[in-house]
Amino acid sequence: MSAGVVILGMALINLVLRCPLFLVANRIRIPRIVEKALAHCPVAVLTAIIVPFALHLDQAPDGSEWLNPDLFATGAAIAASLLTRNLMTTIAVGLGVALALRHLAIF
Amino acid sequence: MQAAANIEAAAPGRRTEILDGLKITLPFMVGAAPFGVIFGALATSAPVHLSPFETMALSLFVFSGSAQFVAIALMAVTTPAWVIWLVTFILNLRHTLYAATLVGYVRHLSFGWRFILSAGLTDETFAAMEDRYRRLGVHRNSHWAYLASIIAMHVNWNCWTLIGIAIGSQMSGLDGLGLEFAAIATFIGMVVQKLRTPGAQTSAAVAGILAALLATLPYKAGLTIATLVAIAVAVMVERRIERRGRA
Repeated sequence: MSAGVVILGMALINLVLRCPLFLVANRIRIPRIVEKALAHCPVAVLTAIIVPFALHLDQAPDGSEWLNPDLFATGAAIAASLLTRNLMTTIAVGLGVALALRHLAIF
Repeated sequence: MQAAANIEAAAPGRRTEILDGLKITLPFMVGAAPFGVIFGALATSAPVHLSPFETMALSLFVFSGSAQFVAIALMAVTTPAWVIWLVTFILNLRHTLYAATLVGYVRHLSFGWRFILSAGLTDETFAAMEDRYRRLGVHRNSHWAYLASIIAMHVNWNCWTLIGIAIGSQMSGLDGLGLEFAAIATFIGMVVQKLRTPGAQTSAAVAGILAALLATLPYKAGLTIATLVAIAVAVMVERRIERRGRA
């Protein structure tokens, strides 16, 4: 499928998520349980993306490449985020470790 | 009549509101700048290889940093379109929550205004405007500050994306360096900062373990299953804690 179709679909999905509540601006109450589930979405989906990436499960679904530069870069980024609570520092540290390990060709 | 006239006179003018909207959005614009550049550079280089037009279309029409990064991370490992759409949907469900929080402040506006103010809603404008509405309340010109915030974020994001595209095309051989880790590092930073409640910790643990165990499933079904199960378990854990707290 072409990238254009993917992008168009993403744009429509974002409109569907952002607009209806404003457009039907009468009294709408979201049930509390739905509200709570919505709040958990970003953490759940992002973690489900991070972990397989860190363990290289896309390249090797059997887990044979789990020990790889990205795993260490992930660890470094988590540590940086916990210590500094700063997003830019987290990216700089994680990216730095990922680039350095690849450049040194340890793996 | 007299009282109404006083309220009208007390409401700040459009110009004041637009300037204040820009002022409260400026820190977020600075914060978004590096991401725009990284996004533009990553999207146009290997292994994603989107054209400059496609990359700009993402920033112009999707206008959601996290969804855009996820999309190019998934395109890099050739993911079917419907999975990218599903992930976009799940990831940006939070925008529905934002709209639900702000809807009370825009109810009096015309259909056109409500469309623009909702279509341009991002994490940043939500943070800026929710805080502002809570501090200052709503009056007849407050939506100009909201509009200014949206336009500022949109122009900012697209300018930095364009600069990223220019940088990405200047440098060949960006692939294989490990630059794609920038997107993953962004996700890590966002997740770690949210891990302060038992619910969020549960959600991350369940999602991570299941996503790893189910990685062999076709069409990235593991990603979807892991996400949905994690959300359900997190909600159950929170309810249990609440009930124990009340007992």
